[in-house]
Amino acid sequence: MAVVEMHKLTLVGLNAEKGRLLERLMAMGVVQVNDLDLASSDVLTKWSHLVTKEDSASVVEELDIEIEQAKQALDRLARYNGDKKPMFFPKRTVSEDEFSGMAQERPQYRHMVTEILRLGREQQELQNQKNKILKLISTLEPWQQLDVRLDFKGTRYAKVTLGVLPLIANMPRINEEMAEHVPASHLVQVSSDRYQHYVMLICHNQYLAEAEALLRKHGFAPVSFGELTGTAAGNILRANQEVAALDKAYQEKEAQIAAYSANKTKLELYYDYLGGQREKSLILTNLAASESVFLIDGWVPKVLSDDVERKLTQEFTCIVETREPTDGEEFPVLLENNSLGASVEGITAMYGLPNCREFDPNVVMAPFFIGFFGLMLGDGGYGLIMALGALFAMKRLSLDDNQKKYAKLILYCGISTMFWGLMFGSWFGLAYFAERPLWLNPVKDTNTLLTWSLLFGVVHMFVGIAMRGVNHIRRGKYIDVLWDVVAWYVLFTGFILILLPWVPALNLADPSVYTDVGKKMLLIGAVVLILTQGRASKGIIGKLLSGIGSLYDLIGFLSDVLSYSRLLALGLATSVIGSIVNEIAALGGLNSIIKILVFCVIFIIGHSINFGINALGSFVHSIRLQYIEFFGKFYQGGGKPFQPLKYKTRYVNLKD
Amino acid sequence: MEFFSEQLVGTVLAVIGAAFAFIIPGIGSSKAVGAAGQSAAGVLSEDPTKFVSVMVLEALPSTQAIYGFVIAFLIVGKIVVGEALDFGSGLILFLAGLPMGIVGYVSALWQGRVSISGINMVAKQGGGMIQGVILALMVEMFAILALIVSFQIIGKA
Repeated sequence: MAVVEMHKLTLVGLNAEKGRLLERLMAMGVVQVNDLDLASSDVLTKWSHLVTKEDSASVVEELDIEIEQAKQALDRLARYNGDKKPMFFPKRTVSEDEFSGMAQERPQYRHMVTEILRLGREQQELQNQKNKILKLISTLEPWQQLDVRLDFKGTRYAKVTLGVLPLIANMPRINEEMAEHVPASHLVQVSSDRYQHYVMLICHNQYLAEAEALLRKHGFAPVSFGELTGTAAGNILRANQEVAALDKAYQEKEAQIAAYSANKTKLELYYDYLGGQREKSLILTNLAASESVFLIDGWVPKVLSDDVERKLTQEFTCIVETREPTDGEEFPVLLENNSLGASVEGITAMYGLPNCREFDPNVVMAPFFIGFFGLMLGDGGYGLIMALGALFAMKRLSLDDNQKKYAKLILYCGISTMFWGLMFGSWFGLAYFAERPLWLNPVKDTNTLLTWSLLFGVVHMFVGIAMRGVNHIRRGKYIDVLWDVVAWYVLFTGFILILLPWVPALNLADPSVYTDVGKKMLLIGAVVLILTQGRASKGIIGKLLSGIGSLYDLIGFLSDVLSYSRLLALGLATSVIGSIVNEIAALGGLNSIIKILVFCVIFIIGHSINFGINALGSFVHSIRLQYIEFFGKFYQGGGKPFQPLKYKTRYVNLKD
Repeated sequence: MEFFSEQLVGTVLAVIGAAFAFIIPGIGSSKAVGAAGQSAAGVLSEDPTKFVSVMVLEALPSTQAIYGFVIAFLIVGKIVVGEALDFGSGLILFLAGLPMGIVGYVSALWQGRVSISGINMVAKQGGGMIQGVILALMVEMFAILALIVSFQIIGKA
């Protein structure tokens, strides 16, 4: 439950073993390699003229291409999954031997990938040809009934022209006009479709010009078929045969590709192997190397450092040195928490990781975050749905570590919401439960709940101030705890005691007892704070001024406490809207099946909206209370995440 | 002219309060969601995969209208058919509509602006949705407080 302690690791190894050693480190996945700045490295100041950094940009580029091709091939094979793609697919577990064995098999799979891609391209080519022929068939179809060859231009005296007329052309009238004005001509209507009429003009050579002029008036356009010979029907028959042949060829290629789907798991391994190789090549640019040795500068968790050192020196010819970080040295932050604390790690990380020498606040924050969330959502029914949903996700879907943490957080928040639902008697806003709360009904006893909300806030903030003390103790500044923690407790407690008579629903018999004590505490606290809070400033006046200035925090404290009234406000909003949804749903009564159906529809839609709005709101405002009211009291943050060198796989899990 | 009889003044006041509590935040939410929707559509034309993110952000300013509806519903619930509200209760119910109406309107408009900024943020960088939602929900707080204040005033009628 804390920030994991790190050891600085320095390793010098032989260039000959560099690749293998890096692969081993990636398989272990516990060592972060720092980007070594040759110019300013303290290790290399004297020797920087001897070392260089490797430039692996071209290797990475080649790998990128290979990875992209592997991805395309896998995408191509994805359609042979049989069933539809699951949303979260589990990763296959492979042994380290199998994984590194891919080095030998790599050319084989590279070849397979190029084959699959080649077949895919050929299929595309076949498809293009087929489309071309289908287009030809569609242009020929209107002429199918014509038993004249398409390349037939006419006899010695007569000319044959094929063409189209627009749909609006009046065929009988054209025929009449032809008979009247152009002797020795005949217009045959071959067919018509939605777009135009298809016609053949037979005409004596002598009258050709007149016939064409007349037809053009009606929108005639001649059609030519280029190189085609034979009748339209014959051409269509031939084209259909070609299509069938192309289809068959296409199916053959398809079968060939499908045959490769047996190797899909291997190809996935190949893909992840390439990803690992790419990662390795990228890391190479971070290493300083001379002609025959190289240097790794990095971090390893303290508990593992001996183990890593032993393994590496056994397997490789290298020198490994691990040591504690020096006092001023920042080390990367890795958090280790129990299930409860880990569930809110994501929330803290959004704010910023804790500083490497700071107390990890997750475990302390988790109960507050989860409790406040539940109080603000406050409806047990919604909590039940959340908890069941989270349980389902954890059991049925294969989630990665981060998703698991969030699923757990939702589960805890759901349980907390159910708890508060019991306390408030709030289950889907139903009136039956609202009359039977375990503790109080927030709609009726608003003032009581407001008082409690503010009290929760005071507890939350006092814990925050205590955390400040914990950080002081960790740094060995024991005496500062007195000024920065105890003095504030005295001041704030006094302030609260003075304000007691104004707190609603408290009904004190004799408030003056409390206010008298409060005044004294306020005074003592204020004097101590004025004397101590300016201790970092220079000069006696500066010290005093910043000491007095620090009393302004009292106003901040007041506004912080009042800020916790949102616990009540959001909780009320959920139950008020929930009960109104029920009221609207039941407006028409429940005395027929249709009315009951209407009730169900409105009930489900209304509560879904209410749940959506308020769950989101509770989440955000619970976060806000942690970030501003809680973290504001002590948190420094600014840690850099620990990013160990490891295989970032997509399809397989490496078993160590 | 029976409608204007003195006995009905209380009821009429309450109805005006209910109408005010819904109409004003309703206008605010419509404007805000409408403007956010235009921005969202713009983002989607570039990158349709961001639909969920921009839709959540677009929907945020609609809650003020819902709160206004809740208050209006509660005020109307106080009116019993055939029974005239006395002047005092009517005035209280009218006043109860004001916090929700006024604060809800302003909160919706400004939350809409934050939502639009959030949508633009999502457009520029994929993972900005959570931050955008958090920023926008800060403005929501005041509408919730107004809801509670209005709710408390209704309880006094």
